[in-house]
Amino acid sequence: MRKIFCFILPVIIILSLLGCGKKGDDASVPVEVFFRNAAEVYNNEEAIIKPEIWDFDGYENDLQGFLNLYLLGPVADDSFSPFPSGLQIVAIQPNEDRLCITLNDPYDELTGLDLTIASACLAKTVMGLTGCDVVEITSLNAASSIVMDREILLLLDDSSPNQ
Amino acid sequence: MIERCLLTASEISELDVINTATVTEAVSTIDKPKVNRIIVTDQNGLAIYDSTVQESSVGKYILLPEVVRALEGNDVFSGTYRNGLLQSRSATPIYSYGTLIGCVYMMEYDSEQGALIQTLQKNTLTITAILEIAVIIFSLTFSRAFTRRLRRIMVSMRIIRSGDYSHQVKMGGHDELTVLGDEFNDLVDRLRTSEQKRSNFVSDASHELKTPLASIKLLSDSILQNDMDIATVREFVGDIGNEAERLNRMSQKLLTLSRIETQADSDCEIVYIAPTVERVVRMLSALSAENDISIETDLADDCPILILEDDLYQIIFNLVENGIKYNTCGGKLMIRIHHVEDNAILQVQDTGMGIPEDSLEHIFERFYRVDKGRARKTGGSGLGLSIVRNMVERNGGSIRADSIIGQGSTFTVTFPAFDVEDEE
Repeated sequence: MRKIFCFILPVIIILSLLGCGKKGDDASVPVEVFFRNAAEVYNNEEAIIKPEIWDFDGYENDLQGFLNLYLLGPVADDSFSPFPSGLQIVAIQPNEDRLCITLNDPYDELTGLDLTIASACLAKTVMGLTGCDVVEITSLNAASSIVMDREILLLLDDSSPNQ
Repeated sequence: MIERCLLTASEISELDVINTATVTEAVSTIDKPKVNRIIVTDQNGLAIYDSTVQESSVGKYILLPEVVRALEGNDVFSGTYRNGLLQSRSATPIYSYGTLIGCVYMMEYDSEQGALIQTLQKNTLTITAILEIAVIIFSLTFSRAFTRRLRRIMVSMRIIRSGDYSHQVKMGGHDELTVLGDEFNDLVDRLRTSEQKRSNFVSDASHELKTPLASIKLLSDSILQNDMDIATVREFVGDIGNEAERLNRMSQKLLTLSRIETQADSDCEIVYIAPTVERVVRMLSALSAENDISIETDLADDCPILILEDDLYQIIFNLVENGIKYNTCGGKLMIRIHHVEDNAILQVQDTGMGIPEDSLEHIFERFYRVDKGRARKTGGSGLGLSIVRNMVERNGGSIRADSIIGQGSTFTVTFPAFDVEDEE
């Protein structure tokens, strides 16, 4: 009897834990939004920008509103915002083969690598939401401008040993 | 690998103009660093050189974790092992006149190291598996051995429970289970002894009680079945009364004996023997007068002992009463207390007919009487001295009987004396 109990108890515990998996988002229209990874990981499996799942339901006709919410920062603790405080989208305009995003003055505060990372996060998010292949990001006074497409980022080194 | 990165960064930092062409030329002048990939970026992370020809990343933004860390001003080295290959990655910033202008990234696959790690992994897994199997086998063997020995005790318990008190468990070894087995055997021995005593006691008691009951039955039947004159009836009824009184005394003493054996040790008190002797002598003065026995006491050398006062009274009472009852008419009874070394000695000596030598060793046994006929006449049950011995031993003392036929008997009780000065 004791042996049967000793066998059943761990099975019950394991089965109960199976139901405690990572909480899936209950979003009805789940979309990926990108932020900077808070963890410094060098295992060539995790990139420096990582997605968060948000609910796009209700924002189908208000992309700008959704993106302005996105620019406020992440919900989870395992990532942080690469955007300066107060950054907001002024305009979104399709232009030939690309989507032009105009941002307000805080965008000019970004330089160098910080500019690259922030633009990469925004570009990947917009490309995922809209399906466009090219995103052009500029500031309101046109001081900064950057163009990103789907192939422009190398986030992990996947080169083979034979190269 | 860091050194190779630093060397390359140093070469590039000396260039006047940094673009794909100048960097390509600079890298080509360096001795082949034997890495799988070299990427050089500007300060924004834009790749300006990639040693990979196919799928070159020139013109792309290199946001590898190592490159980002290097562009923040740090030298970085990392490695991962996967599928038998060790991949090492390194990145270092490029400075020109103190200004960060880009970074150098290198990546290398080392199959030899990877194979070594793979072999180590396999060996570790093998050793772990062997150890686990050994532990499991050892655990099973040990638990079997342990439970087997425990089972032996359980089986012995069942045998004992069925009534076979002669059974002994054999454990072997020199561990705690052996000690448990020895303790168990000791317990069984005590149980056997106790059971034997109980059986003997029941047998003796029922025999002794049967006799007066049989007498009562016989006498009452005689009265009922025969026509007798009133004087004879009175005589028979008197005998019935005597037997009933004997039964009563016997059962009282049996109860006393049982109480002594089952009673937990009580707190003893400091008692002087002399006053108790005097009290007993007063109580039995009528009996001694009736039997024409003179009682002499020598209580000059009294000393205190640690004892229950009631027990001391009972001991002295039983010894003095016996000394009166089993004395010759007109005889003497001497009671003496004296001090020998650290002991207090109480002696009760009579001038009776004495006790045969072969009876001396039995007189403290229950229901034993030297002369059954005389004992019955004097109302003796054979329990008095048994009670005395139990009480003496319970209080840490000892008792001895000496006797000379025709001259009398001496009962010597020895108690450890209580040293009042030390206590103070």
